[in-house]
Amino acid sequence: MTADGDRTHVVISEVAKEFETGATEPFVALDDIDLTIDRGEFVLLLGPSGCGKSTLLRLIAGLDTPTRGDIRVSGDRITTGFDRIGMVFQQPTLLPWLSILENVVYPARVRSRRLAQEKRGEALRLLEMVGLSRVADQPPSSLSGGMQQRAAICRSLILDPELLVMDEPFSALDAMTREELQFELLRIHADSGKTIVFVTHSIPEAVLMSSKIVVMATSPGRIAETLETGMPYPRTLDSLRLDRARQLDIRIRELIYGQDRGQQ
Amino acid sequence: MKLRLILLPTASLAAMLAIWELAVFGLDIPAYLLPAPSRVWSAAVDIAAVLPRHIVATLLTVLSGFALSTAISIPLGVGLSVNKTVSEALYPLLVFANAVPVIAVAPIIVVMFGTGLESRLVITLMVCFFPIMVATATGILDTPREYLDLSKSTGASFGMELLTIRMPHAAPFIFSGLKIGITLSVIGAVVGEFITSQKGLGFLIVSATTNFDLAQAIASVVALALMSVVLYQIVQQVQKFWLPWSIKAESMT
Repeated sequence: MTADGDRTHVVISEVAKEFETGATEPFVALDDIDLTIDRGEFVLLLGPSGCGKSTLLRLIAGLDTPTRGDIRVSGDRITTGFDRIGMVFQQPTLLPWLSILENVVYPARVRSRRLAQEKRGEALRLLEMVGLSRVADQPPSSLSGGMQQRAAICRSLILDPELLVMDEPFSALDAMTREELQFELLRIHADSGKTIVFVTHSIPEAVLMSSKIVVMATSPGRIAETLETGMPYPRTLDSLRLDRARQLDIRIRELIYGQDRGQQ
Repeated sequence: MKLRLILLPTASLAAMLAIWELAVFGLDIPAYLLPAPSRVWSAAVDIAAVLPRHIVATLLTVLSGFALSTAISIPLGVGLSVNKTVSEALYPLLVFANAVPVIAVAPIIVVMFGTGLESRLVITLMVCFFPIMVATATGILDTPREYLDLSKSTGASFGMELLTIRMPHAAPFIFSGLKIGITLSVIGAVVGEFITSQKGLGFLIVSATTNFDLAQAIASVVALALMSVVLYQIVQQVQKFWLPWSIKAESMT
């Protein structure tokens, strides 16, 4: 973390996103979103389906443009084609015509063949880190879902972006693989100090992984409350048994289901 | 399992030929109406010396027509799929061009382009440009949104996205078009030879039938069909070699 006071990384101000539906009124997916994310934070966007959490993530990643408001990363306004972000999707989204290694260097290939060539060593190092160096030359189809998602995480890291955005990256995995990858990602976060914005609909995942939880609500999609997680590191499976974890769980349920059902 | 897949069709072919042979002799069908397989075989042996020359002539038309169609159809398919204006301006015309029965315009083409290779190339092009073009456009447009999100998230330009995402994704579609195209090329080449040529398998069939030499005509047709199958297999093998990921595990067996 830089000590120069430049701690603020992502600033989202008064952002709204509307979609034309053909009806007279557009569909308001997000309304009046204000959020500031510091460097090195691990922010979880959590909420019921339809709360716009994935929409917000797509705006941060520069995949869509907001209808109103603006999003700045390190002071620069996000536009489409913004490439200083690493992204991980719900599906691994590995290109079937490339080997695992070629997939990992793909973001470099987009810039130039030479950069792709230069990044091969780095790609192998990343694959080594997640235990995939043996399969670097294999096609994606020969890997399990969990291994594919590991490769996708390596791909998001290849250009060493300051910011990672992840759209429910573990939701398609089985429970055990999911846990393994959660801790792997926590380790990557601890080692690299990258800022991570991560969408989930799993409360335990949010509590376990985050330094900050943004609980969102529906119609229109908005931020209900932002919670500082305030749990010690390193996180382990026991972290979820801490009193603080229980408090967070109850508070999040209150925010999502309403006051009366939070205690259930 | 593999052996079974060879033995079964071979057995049914042998049975069919046997029935044909016996029927021709048993019912005393004259050879100018239906020659027995044995007679077709001896006709094939008779023309064996000149057959290679005709095969090469047809093959030249097929391959150059196919190459021309591919060179025109793939860029056209890409253009149609990525540019709305191009698509709106050209697609209806291309559909119309494809709807024109080639056999009907073939005589016109011969008047326009003469009796040489050019006419046969144009006829072949007319028969096989459409499936290749449509397959290309379909493949480009079929690119999954996740792949496009991926390229966008890496800041890929439109051209880079086309090159590294859309074209590779479209490649198996294009090969489906090419497999249809290569067999249609054979048809186009034969239509061309029917009308203009002094050599080639199409010419051989026409000249044999005018002499009521059905055995020779059938032998030529079989050669033509074999050529078509071999060409199709070559395209298939190129796809297997070049895009192994695009061949599903089941069809590899």
